[in-house]
Amino acid sequence: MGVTIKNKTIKGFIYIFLILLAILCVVPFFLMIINSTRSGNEIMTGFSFFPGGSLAENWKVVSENLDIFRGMLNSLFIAVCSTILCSYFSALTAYGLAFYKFRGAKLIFGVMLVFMMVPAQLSLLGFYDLCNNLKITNTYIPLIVPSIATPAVVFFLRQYVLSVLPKAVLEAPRIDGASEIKIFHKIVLPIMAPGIATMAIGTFIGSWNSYLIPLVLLSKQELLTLPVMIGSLQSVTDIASNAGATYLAVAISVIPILIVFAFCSKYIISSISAGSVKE
Amino acid sequence: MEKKKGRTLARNNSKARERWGFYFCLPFVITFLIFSVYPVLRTLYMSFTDYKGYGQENFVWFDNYTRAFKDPLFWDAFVNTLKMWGLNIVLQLGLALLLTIIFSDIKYRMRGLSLFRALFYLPNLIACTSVAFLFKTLLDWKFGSFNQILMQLGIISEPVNWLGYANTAQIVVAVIGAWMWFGNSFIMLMAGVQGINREYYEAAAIDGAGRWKTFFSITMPLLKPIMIYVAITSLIGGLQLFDIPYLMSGGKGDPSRSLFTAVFYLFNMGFKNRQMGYAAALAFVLFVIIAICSAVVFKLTNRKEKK
Amino acid sequence: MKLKRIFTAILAGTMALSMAACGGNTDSTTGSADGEAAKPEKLVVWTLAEDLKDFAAHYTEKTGIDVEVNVIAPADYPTKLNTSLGSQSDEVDIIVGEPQMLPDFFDAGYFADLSEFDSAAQEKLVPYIYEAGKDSNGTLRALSYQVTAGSVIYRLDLAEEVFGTSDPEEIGKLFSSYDAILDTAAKLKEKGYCIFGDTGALRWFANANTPWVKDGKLQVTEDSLGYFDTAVELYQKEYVAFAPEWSAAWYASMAGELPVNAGWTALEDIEEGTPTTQIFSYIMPSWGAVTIRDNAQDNIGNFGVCEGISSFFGGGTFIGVNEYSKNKEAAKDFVEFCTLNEETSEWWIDESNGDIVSMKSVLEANKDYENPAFGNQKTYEFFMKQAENIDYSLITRYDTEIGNAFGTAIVAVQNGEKDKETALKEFYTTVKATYPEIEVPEA
Repeated sequence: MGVTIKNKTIKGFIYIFLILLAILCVVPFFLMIINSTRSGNEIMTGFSFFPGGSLAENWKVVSENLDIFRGMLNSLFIAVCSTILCSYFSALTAYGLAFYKFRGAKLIFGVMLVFMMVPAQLSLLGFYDLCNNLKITNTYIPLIVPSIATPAVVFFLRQYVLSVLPKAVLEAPRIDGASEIKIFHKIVLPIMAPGIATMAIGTFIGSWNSYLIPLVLLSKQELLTLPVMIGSLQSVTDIASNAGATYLAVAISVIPILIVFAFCSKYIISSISAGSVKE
Repeated sequence: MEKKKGRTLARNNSKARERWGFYFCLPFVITFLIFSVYPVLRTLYMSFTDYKGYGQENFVWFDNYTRAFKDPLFWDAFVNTLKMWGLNIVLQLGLALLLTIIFSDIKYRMRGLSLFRALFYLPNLIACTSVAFLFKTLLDWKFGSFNQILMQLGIISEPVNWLGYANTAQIVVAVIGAWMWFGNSFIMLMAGVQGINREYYEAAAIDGAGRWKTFFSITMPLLKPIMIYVAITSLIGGLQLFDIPYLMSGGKGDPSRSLFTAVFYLFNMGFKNRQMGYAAALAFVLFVIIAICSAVVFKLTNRKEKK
Repeated sequence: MKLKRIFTAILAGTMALSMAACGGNTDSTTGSADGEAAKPEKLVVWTLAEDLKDFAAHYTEKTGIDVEVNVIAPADYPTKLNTSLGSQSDEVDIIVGEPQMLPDFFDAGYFADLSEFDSAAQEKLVPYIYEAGKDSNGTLRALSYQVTAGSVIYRLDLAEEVFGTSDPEEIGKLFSSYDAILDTAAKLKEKGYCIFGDTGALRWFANANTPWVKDGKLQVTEDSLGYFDTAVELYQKEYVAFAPEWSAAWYASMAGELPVNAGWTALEDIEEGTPTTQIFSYIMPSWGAVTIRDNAQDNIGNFGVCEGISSFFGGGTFIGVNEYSKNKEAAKDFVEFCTLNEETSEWWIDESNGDIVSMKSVLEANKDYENPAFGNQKTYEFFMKQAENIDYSLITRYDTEIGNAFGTAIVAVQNGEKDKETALKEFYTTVKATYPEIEVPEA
C-alpha cells in the first residue's frame, strides 16, 4: 500500500517536471505570438498575457518592408527540390553500391566515408569560389543540385537497403528480362520507401533551416530565403525600430511550421525513430 | 561447345549487369566531384596563397598556417566554441537520457509519450535565424519580456543583462542549443530503447534486478552506440557552431568577443576582411582538429567495446 | 506501381520547375542586355541608410526610370558587397560606401571610373568630398551629396527644464569636455533624465583629432582614453538609458518617454504607474537629423544642435557605380543627379529637414535657413562651421574594426568583467591579430 502511494507521488512529480519542460519548449513561441499583437511601446513597458490591439499596425509595417511570403516560397521551393533530388539519387546510389560489384565501388564508398567527416564550412570558401567562377551565385543551382551527392544519406540508405532487400527478390524480374533501372523503380524503391522517408524529413528540415550558404551565395532581394531574410531584420529600420513588428516578422516565419507540425508530428517523429534504430 | 558459349554469354550478361551499379552511382559521383571534392581541394590550395577573393593570388607556402597557430583570437574563438558546445551537449544529452529513463521505466508506465515527444521536438524545427532573433528580442536587457516576467514573478529584482556579459551570453547560447536539440536526442535514444528486446528486461526482472541495476546493466550498454552517434554528430556540428552566436551578437561576437566561434571567426576573415587565403588555412586547421577528435572518440569507444 | 508513378511525376515536375527557374533567369539577363542601349527598366541601389530612397523616388519622378533601393545594415554591408561583387555580379547598379570602407572597395575594383565628373566635382563640391572619392591613383570613383559634420542633438524642453536655457552656445558648454559631460549627466540624473541612450554615443570623439592608425602605428590618445573612462563612469553611475543606438528603444526615445526597468504591467496601468525616463541628447553626424525626423513623431521641432568636445565627422554615403553593372551609363546619370545637381541639392535640404549638402553654391545660398525640425535654429550655419574643420586624413580603412574592438574593451570594463589594463591589452591583441601589419603598443 505504502509503496503505491509513494510511487504515485513520484509519478506526480515526474508529470509536473514533464509538463514544465513542455511549457518551456512552447513558451517562447507563446510570448512571440502575444508580443506580435502589441505595439513597440507596450512591449517595452511590460509583459502581458493578453494580446494587444496592434496586430494590424505591426502587419502594416512588416508587409511594407519585407516580402516575407516570397522568402517562404523561395525556401519551400529549394527545400522540396533538394529533398526530392537527394532522396531519389541517394537511394539509387545506395542500391548501386550495395547490390552491384563493379570496379571503383569500394573507392566511391571509401571516399564517401571520409567526406562524411568533412565539415561543410571547410569547403565553404572553395564552394563559394567555384560558384563565382561558374557564375551561379544568385541562382538556386548551388543550393539544390549538390544535394544529389549527400554521403550521409547514401551511407544510411546503403545499410538500410541491405537489411530490407533480400537478393532473391531481384531474381524473378531479371529472369523476366526486366531492365535494371526498371527493377530499381518498380521493386527496390517501394521497398526502400520508409528509409527514404526518414532521410527525406531530415533533408527537408536541414535545407529549410540552412543559413550560412544562402547567406553567402544569394544577394538578390527577390531570391532570399526565409532564414536569410529574418537574419537581416535588423537592417530594416522600420521593423527594427518597432519591437512589435520584429516579433510579428519572426512569428510569420515560424507559424507555418507550427501548423504543419501540429498535423504531421506523429508521422515525422515515428519516421525519425525508425531511422535511428536502423542505424 | 554449346554449353561453353552459354556460360560466357551468361558471364558477359552478368558483367554488363554489374556495370549498371556504376551507372547508378554516376550522378552521385559527378556531383560529388564538382561540389564536394573540388571545393575542398580548392580551399586547400587557397590556404597556401594570399588570395583576397579578387585579383592575383600569390603562393605564400605556410605563412597562413604559422599565422593561424599564433593567432590568439582564433584560439580564443576555438575555446569559446568548446565551452558552448560542452555545456550544450551535457544539457542536451543529460536531459534526453533523463527523459529516456522516465519513459522506459516499466514500473511507472508513463503516459503521453507521443504528445511529450512532439512538444519536446518542436524547437528543433524552427529555423536558427528565427530562434536567434526571437531570443535576442526576448532577452533584451531593459526592455525584454523575459526579464519582465522574471521580475514580476519575483525571481529577480533587477533586470539581468543576459547578453551583456561574456559568461551569461555563452550560457544563453548553450542553453538555446540544448533547448533546440534535446528533443531530437531524446527521440533517438527512446527509439533505441524501444528496439531493445523485452526479453532482456523480463529476464532481469526474474533475476530480481532493481530499477537502477536494470538500467545500468541493460539499457545503457545497449544505448551506447546511439549515444556515441549522437555525441559525434553533435561534436562535428558543435565545432561548426555559427548561426546563433553570429545572429545574437549582430555579427560582432560581443560581449568581449565571447560569442566568436571558430567558424564565425573564419567567416569574418574570409568574407568581411577579405583574407580568403588565411580563412582557408583556418578552415583546414579546424578540420584537422575535428578529424582528430572524431578519431579519438571512435578509438576510445571501440576499445571499450572489445574489452 | 503507384509509388513509381508518383516518383516519376514528382521528378518530372521538379525538372520542369528547375528548368523553368533557370530559363527564367536567362531570360531576364538577356532582357536587360538588350535594353542596354535604351533606358534601363530599373536601376538597383544598395545603400546603408534610408536617404537614397527619397532620392530614388525623386529621380523616378523626374525621369520615369524606376529605382529600387535596398537598405543593408552597416555591419552586413561590406560582407554583402564582397560576396556579390567579388563574383562580378551585375545585380546592383549603384553602390555606396562610407569613407572608411572606400579604400578597400576601391582596391577590390568594385567602383567604376567616374573621371568624366572629375572637373565638375572639383569645382562644385566641398573639397574633402572630392578628395575622399578618389582612389590611390587619383581616379575619381565615388561622390557624396552630403557633408557629415558632427553635432550634439539635444532636447530643447529638457534643456529649459534642467539648465534653464536651450541656447546652443550654453548647452555646447555642457558638452565641452569629458568632465563637463559627466557633470551634465549628473544634473540630468537628478531630474530623472539620461544624458545618452548608451555610452557608445561618445565614440565619435575617440579619433576626432588623431587617426586610429598613423604611419602604420595604432594611436591610443587622450581622446580615446578619455572616452574609455567617461563611458565606464557614465555606465556605472547609470547616467545612460541602456538603449544602444539602433535598438528599438533608442528609436522610440526620440518620441519621448522610455519606461525604466519595467515589470509585468497590465495594459491599463501603463499610462500611470510605470516609471519613465527621457534621453537628453544624441551625438550624431548631420545625417542624424534625418533619423530624428523619422522617429520623433510629435516631438519634432523640439530639438537643437550644438557642438561637442571637438568637431568630428563620421559616415557619409558616397555613391558610385558598380564596375560590373549592365546599366553603367544610366547609373552614372543617377550618381550625377544625386551629387552634382544644384536642384537636387536644394530639394534634399527641404526633404531632409536640413541635412547638410556637399555642394558649395547651395551651402552658401542656404546659410540663413531656419530649420523648423530644430526649433527654427539656423542649423545650416552651424553645420557649415563644423564642416570647415573636417580633416579627411583622420579616416583609415581600419576604423570600423578598430572602433568595434575598442567598444568591446569598454563594454567589458563597464560590466566589471575586466579591469582597464586587461581590456586594453586585449584590444591591442585584437588589432594586431586582425591586421598583422599594424604596430601596436606592447603586446
